[in-house]
Amino acid sequence: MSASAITVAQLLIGGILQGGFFALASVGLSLIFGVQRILNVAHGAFIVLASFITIQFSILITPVFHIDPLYSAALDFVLMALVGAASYFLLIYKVESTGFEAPLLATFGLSVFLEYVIANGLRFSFSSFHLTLIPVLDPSSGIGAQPQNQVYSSTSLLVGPILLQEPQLIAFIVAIAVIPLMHLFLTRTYYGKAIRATAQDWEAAEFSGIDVRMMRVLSFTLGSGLAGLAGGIFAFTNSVTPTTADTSLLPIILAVIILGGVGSMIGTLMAGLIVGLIMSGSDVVAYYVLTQFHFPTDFGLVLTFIIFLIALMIKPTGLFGHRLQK
Amino acid sequence: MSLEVANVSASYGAVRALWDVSISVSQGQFVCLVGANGAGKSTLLKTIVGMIPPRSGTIRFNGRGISNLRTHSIIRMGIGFVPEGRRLFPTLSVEENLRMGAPRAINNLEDSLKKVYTLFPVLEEKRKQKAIALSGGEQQMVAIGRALMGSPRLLILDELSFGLAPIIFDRVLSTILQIKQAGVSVLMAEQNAERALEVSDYSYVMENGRVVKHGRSTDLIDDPLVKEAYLGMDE
Repeated sequence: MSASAITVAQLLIGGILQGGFFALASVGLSLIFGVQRILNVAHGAFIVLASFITIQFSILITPVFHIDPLYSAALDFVLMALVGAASYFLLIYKVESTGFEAPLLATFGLSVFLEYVIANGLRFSFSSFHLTLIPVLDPSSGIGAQPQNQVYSSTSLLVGPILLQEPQLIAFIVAIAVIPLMHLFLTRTYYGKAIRATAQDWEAAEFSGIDVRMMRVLSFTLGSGLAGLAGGIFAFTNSVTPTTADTSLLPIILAVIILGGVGSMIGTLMAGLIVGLIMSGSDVVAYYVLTQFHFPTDFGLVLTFIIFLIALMIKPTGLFGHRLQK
Repeated sequence: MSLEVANVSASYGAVRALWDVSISVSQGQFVCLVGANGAGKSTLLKTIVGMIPPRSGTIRFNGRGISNLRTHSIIRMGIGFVPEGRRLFPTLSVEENLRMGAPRAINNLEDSLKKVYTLFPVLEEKRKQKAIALSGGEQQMVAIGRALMGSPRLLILDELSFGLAPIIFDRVLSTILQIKQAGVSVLMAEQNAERALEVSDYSYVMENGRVVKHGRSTDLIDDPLVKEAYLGMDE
C-alpha cells in the first residue's frame, strides 16, 4: 500500500472507532426522546460533565489509590443517572405536560447551567483540595483537558500497517457491548417492554395498568446514566472543554439519533458508525480533494452535515426509523 | 364489586363534557351507555378511570373514592379497560401486548395468559406476531385480552364495534357475555344502541353530556323515544 492509501485507511478505521463513541453518546438521548418526546438538550452537557469527573478522578484518585481512571466511567454512569433523576423531578416533571416547548427550554437552561458549573464550579470546589493540579485542567482556559494517565495517552496497537489508539479501541468496544445490552433490555424485560409501550401510546399504557410516570423516570435516569458512561470514555479520546457539548457533541448526537430512528438502539448503533465513517470520509475528501479547489481543510464537518441533510431529504424517517408514529 | 358514580361533572379541554352524571354498576351486572357520538359516553369512561379529572362529584369503586388516583392505580384495583380504537402497542407482539396488561409481579401471570388463550384460541396461534399485523377483530381480542390479564372484577369497554364488521362485533359481544357469566361485571359504551340494549341488563341514555334516561334494557328497547332517537325505528 502506498503511504497515502494507508493514511486513508487509517482515517476511515479511526472514523468507525469514533462512530462507536458517537453511538454510545447518542443512545441515551434516543431512549429519552423515544419515550418522552423530550429533546434533552442538556444531554451533551451531561457527557461533558462526566468527562470532567473522570479527568478529576484521574488527577485526584488515581495517583493516590492506583485505580485505573477507566473505571471511573462506571462512577460517571451512576452520578449522571442521579443528576438525570434529579433534573427530571426538579425540572422536567413540572413542565412536561405543557407540551414540547417548555421541556425543551428547561433542558436548554439546564445545559447552560451545567456548562457554567463545569467552567467555574468544578475548578472552584476542587481547587481548595488540590491547588497545584488546577492549572493542568483549568477548563476556562479553553485549551481542554484530558485524563492524566500515561498508560492510555500513549499506548497504541499496530495492526498491519494500521495504528490503533488504545483509548479509541476501548471506547468502541464499550459502545459495541452496551448498545446490544440496551436492545436486550428493551426487548426482553418487563420494564424494557413497558418503556416501549409507554413510548408508543402512553394513555394505552396507563389503561393497561403501567405506571407511566415511573417509566419516564426510569428512561430519563437510564438515558442520563448512558450519557455519563459516554462522557467517561470521551475523556480518553478527546480533549474536553466546557463548551465541547455545544460546539461538537450535540449536533453530531442529533444527527445520529435522527438518522438511526428515534428510540431504536440498534439503529442508533448503525447510525453512529455511519456518521463516524462519513465524518472521516468527509475529512479525507476535504483534505485531498476539496483543498485543490481552495476549500479550507476543515471543510469535512460541513460536508458531513450536507450528506446528513441529503439523507434526510431522501428518507425523512431516518435510516432505521419507523418507531416515531403518531 | 360495585361502581358508584355520583353527580360527576367534567371538562374536556375548555368544553364542559359531563353535567351532573350519576350511574352505578353492581356485581355481575352488564351496564350499557348508549347515545350519539359526542354524547359524553367516552368522556364518562375516561373520567371513571382517572384519565380526565372530575370537576365535581364522587366516584367510588368497591366503596373507595378513586377520583384522585392515577389511572394505572385505578386499573390495578381490579378494572380492565378496553379503549376506543383498541390502542394496542403496534411494535409489540400479541403476547407482549397481553403481558403489558398484567401488573409485573403477579404470580398467576401464566394462568391469566392461559385463560385469555382459551377465550381467544386464535391469539395463541399468532402470539409471536406484531399486534399491528392482525385483523380488526383479532386486534379487538388482544385489547380485551390485555384488559383481562389483571383478573379484573369490572370490565370497561369503549366502543367495541369501532371498525368491526357486524358479524365480527356479534362474535366479540358473545365473548363478552361469556366473560360476564364468569362473574365479571361489564360497563360498555356503545353507539350501536340496538345491540347494546339487547345484550345488557341496564342502560343509561346520554345526550350532550347528561344522562337523559335510564332503566332496564328490555324496557328501554320498547321505549318510543329511544326507538325513535337511537334505534332508527318510527312508531
